[in-house]
Amino acid sequence: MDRVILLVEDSPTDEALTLRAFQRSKVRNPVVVVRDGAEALEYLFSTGHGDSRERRSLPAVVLLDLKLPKVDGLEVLQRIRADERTRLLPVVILTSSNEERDRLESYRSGANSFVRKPVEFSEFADAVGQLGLYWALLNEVAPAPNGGTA
Amino acid sequence: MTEHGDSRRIASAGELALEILDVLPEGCQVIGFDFRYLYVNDLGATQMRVSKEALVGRPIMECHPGIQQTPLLASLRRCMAERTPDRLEHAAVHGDEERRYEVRIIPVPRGVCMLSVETPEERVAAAASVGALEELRRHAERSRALFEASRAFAEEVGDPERLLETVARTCSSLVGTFAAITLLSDGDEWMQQATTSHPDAELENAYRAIATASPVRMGEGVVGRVLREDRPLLLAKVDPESIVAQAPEAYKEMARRLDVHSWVGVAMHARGRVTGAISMARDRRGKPYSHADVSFLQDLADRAALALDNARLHASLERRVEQATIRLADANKELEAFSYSVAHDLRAPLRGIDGFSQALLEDNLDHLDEQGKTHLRYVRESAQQMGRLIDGLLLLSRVSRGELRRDRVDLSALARSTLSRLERAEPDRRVELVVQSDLVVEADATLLSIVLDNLVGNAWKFTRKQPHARIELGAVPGDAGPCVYFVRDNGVGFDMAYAHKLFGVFQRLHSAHEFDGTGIGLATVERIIRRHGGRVWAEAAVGEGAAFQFTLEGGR
Repeated sequence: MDRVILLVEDSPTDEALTLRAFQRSKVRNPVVVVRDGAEALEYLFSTGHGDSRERRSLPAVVLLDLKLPKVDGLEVLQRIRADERTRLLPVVILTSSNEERDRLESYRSGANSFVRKPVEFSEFADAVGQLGLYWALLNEVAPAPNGGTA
Repeated sequence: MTEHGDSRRIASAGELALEILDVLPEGCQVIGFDFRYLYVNDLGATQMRVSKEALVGRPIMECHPGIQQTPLLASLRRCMAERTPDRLEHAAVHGDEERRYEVRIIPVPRGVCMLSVETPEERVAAAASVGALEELRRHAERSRALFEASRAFAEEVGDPERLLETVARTCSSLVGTFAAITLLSDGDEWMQQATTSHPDAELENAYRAIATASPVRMGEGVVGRVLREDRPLLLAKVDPESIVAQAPEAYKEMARRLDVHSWVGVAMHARGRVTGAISMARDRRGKPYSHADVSFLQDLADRAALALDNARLHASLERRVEQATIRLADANKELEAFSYSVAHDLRAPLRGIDGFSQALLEDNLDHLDEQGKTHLRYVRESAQQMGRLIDGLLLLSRVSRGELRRDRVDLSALARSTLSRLERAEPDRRVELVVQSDLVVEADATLLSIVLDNLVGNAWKFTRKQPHARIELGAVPGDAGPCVYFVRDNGVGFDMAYAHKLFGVFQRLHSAHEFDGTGIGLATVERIIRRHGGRVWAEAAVGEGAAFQFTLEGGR
């Protein structure tokens, strides 16, 4: 079964456009959308939920916006990198910003890639589609850490 | 044997004496007990610039008005009375001319005899130079003290409180004894006893306590008089009680303790206005103040006033710089937050507009007529143009922030890479490219690539309608100035009448219909060049192309 793509995005229009881009690029992986940083962390670490959640497999890739309600993207990224279970999880920063500061901080915090969302839809669709293809289909993930999920 | 009779005759003693006296190389005057002249020899009359006849028989005081006040007459009187000889130096004034004589006074039976020789000029000059030297020494000492004081004052310019202390202590030690500084404050209505200095610490502290508690209204007391009249006031010898009587009520006890026997006060002047006063007092142990003390204190006071005024300006300048720095930092922070927000938030809705217009075109094509499709295309074009504008503005604001890092940059390579990017985007265009090789400059590589993207990009854009387009990059060694680089094209050019608008934000010389653009590119170029300390300008003519020239360092 195709592994999940986790999209952390608070804008419904960007969400719709991203899904549309995946569709156009024939990326068939199921996409799980969460609306803010806290939800993203909860999805990944299943805090405060039953045991069943803990067994959930990690996504193929996390597409993470930087500007998010509650817990911002950078912090989510840092928490992902700080946890043994998710340390090697591919994370792509997908954001409107092209500020050098954001790029620098993202890479410093361990982002695998930094992609700016272009205004023009065809460019956007290309970028997102390629992302999906690369990270969800082509990229060979690191071996799971001991005791990790399969 | 009578031909030598005269010489052979035995002269009387009196005759002999007179003969000798007449030719004596000293002025000789014999004065009777009634102070009338009995005898004056030739030289004596010459020395006095009067004839013998005008003198003999007349009282000396009548012949020389003013002689009564001189030490010479005092000495004459003493010699008449006490019959003791004396010698002294006497200065006689003849018109403008002063002559000095060494005078011996000898008691004689009928009164006194005065013998006088003129003091040789060298000796007069020597005596005068000793006096002048003394004066000079005093002057030098004073200048030195003033200089030291000025320096001490200048050193405290950053700390007005300590400066006041220094001024008070300097006055107290250089002039003595008690010094008080009064400053005008609150629109010159109040006199503020700023500080005092007294060798007796207890007295000093007591005075300060009163001064802090009791401000004095302008014009009260002796200090008030100095300030009001803006004139030094010297009370060389003063009854301590009169000072007590003049003192404002709260200060009477203090004035009594200070036991003022001599008092002086001068106004302080800085930048053409009275800023306060320094007053000094000595008790019964001190000498009365002299006029020299007053002028010295005045010099000291004016230097102190200037230093205090400088300290005031210094403090207010520092405050203003501090405030301006805070305001600037706030503004920068705000600007940064603003552009950050623009970068993140303003582009997102545009993506929606463009994306869903596209979605409509793709998914609902059957429901749209031609006009509807055209409208949707316009919507998309507008959104994309606004996206470019936002990007342009962000870039413009970004080139002003951040550090400028100068490295060796190959301008030729930068231009070639820009051109090949443009060629890839429009492979059908035929453009002749002339890039001078090895143009290496010291500049910020990132910023300079933005410059070339814009200038070369413009050249590319504005030669679009030119069948034989040509774009050239080169350099001209500056004529005794910095090297001038240029990007030249043979495109549509522009009217130089609008050249002044070229580098303004949102200024465009061509309609969007003719040539697309944001109107931000050249403003960004100008800002980058300016940050490098250089200059950018353009030369063009309509239909004959344009040349953009820039330097990357200062110069004429």
